[in-house]
Order: sequence, then C-alpha cells, then structure tokens
Amino acid sequence: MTERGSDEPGSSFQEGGEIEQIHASDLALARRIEGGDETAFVALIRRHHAGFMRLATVWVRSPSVAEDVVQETWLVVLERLGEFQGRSALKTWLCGILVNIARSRARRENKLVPFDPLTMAQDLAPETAVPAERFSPPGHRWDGHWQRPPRSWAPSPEAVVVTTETLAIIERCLEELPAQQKAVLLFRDVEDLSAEEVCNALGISSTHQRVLLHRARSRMRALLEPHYDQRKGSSS
Amino acid sequence: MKSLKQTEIVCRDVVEIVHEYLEDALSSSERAGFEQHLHACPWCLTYMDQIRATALSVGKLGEAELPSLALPSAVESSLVAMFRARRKA
Repeated sequence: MTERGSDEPGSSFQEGGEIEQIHASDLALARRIEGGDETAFVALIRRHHAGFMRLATVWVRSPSVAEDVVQETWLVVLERLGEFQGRSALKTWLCGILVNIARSRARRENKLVPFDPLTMAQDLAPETAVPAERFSPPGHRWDGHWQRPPRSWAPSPEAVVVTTETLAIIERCLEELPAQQKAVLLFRDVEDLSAEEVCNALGISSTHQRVLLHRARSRMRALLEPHYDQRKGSSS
Repeated sequence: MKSLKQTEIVCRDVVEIVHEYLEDALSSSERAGFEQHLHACPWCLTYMDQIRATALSVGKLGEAELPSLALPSAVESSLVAMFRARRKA
C-alpha cells in the first residue's frame, strides 16, 4: 500500500450545500506538470508504471499490449491534465483513464471484457471462503464451529514478514483469479483506492465490489495459509 | 454472501461475512452479534487477522521492484519526448 499520505484531502470548500474535499497536493502536482515540470512528470510515470502494467493486464493479457495501453494513458493524461480539479486523488483520476483505455482496447480486440454487462454475472456463482470440512458438520454438537482452526501467522497482521517467495505466490494467485476479482484486489490492496473509488472506476455497485473483494482476498488467504503456516512451523 | 437471520453467529458464518464487517456493511444488530462472537472465539479473531495480513501482503506488491514491470528506458524517453513536444506546442 503506497503513498496514502499524498492522497489525503488537503482542504475542503462548500458548494451547493455540499462539502467537497480538495486533494491540494495532487492538484499542485498536476499544475506543476502542466506548467512544464519535467522532473515531476518523470517521477509520476516511474511511480505508477508497474501498478498500471498490472492493472492493464486485467483487460489485455499480452504484456506488449498492456505497455501500449499504459503509454496511451500517459498521452491522454497530458492532454487532459488541465481538467483535473483535485476532487479525487490524482491516482484515482489516472486509474479511471487507464481503465477506459484498457477496456476500449479489449473491445477492439473482441475480447470478453471484464465488467461489461455480458461478463457481470461471471464470478458470482456460490462458493465458500473456507472448505466446509474445516468446520464441524450439521448435526454435530459444535455444528459450524472450527474443526481445523486457522493458526496465527504473526503477533499482528502488520508483523507478517513478506518475502520474495511470498510475493511470487501472490503474483501466481493474481494470475489465477478471475479478471474482476483481480481488478478489485489490485485497486484496493495495491493501489489503495477506497471502496467508493473502485466502484466509480469500474462502474459497479458497492455490493458487487464487496463480493469481489471478499472472494479475491479469501482465495488469496487460502493460498498463503500453507506458506505462512509452514514458515511459522519452521521458526517455532 | 449469507444474510444473517439467526441471532447466533457461528465460525462458518464469520468467514463469509468478514468483509461485510470490515467494510462496515452490517446492520447494527448483525455487527453486535459478529463482535460478540469474536470476543468469545480466538480462532475467528485469528482468521480475521489472516485476512488483514493477506491484504497487507498483497499491498507489498506495490513496493516491490520487479524487472518484468520496470519502466523501459526507451518508453520513458519517448514519453519525455512527448512531454517536451507538448510544451513547445
């Protein structure tokens, strides 16, 4: 999770009775780039390139096409930077542009496009977060309670050590996730967008966003469990 | 996700509604029932910590510098050239 501090609203003003948050530092950055600050522009593209490449591959699988999508995004950003008013975080605004370009590109290539109406029902078939056999079965005295409970990975979630091996497992799991779940997980946990920002960027309801996040994180947890359990076992 | 009509929440329910809890989407009575269960069940607390740890672990991808996702210098140069051309225009 990155740069939350820079996305915090810096001030607010009242218009039509509603308080609107202004992301002052993001607005200042946009104006600097618009004014010709090349160093600020280069820092921006370096900061977001890897995240944008990952996000683009939700819609276009090929890395070279993803590269095209990211480059086109920066072109559009430069053309439209004057429209950015700081009413969202700059990163949210950039992500919205990227999603639109990636989606158009996928449509042009006649791909099934995640979050289009035809694919919206995908990923919503019933599934459980944890296999049923880990709980006591119906009829048992402890029906629904853990039979094989989870083990602690660390004294706190923040204390969990993420190694290169952990990241490789996460990357593999991301590739196996259905596209919509992957998009929501990347936006929420890597790009650190809020639930509302994700709904706006992807054009989905808050319930759909939550279901996708739940399924993605549950699958990811299940894949990380043996890895962290084994490490905990070998260190104790 | 399961709609909770029963008053007593069991561990099997917790793993299905944990994100409704974390995203503040439960009604006040469901939230109270969920928290009551957590107070009494260290295993479900551990499960919720695992979910939080999962989110934090995935977030570390944003800090990792992977060569396969690095900005190629040729691409950076072309973007900078585009930036300069726009300034002149």
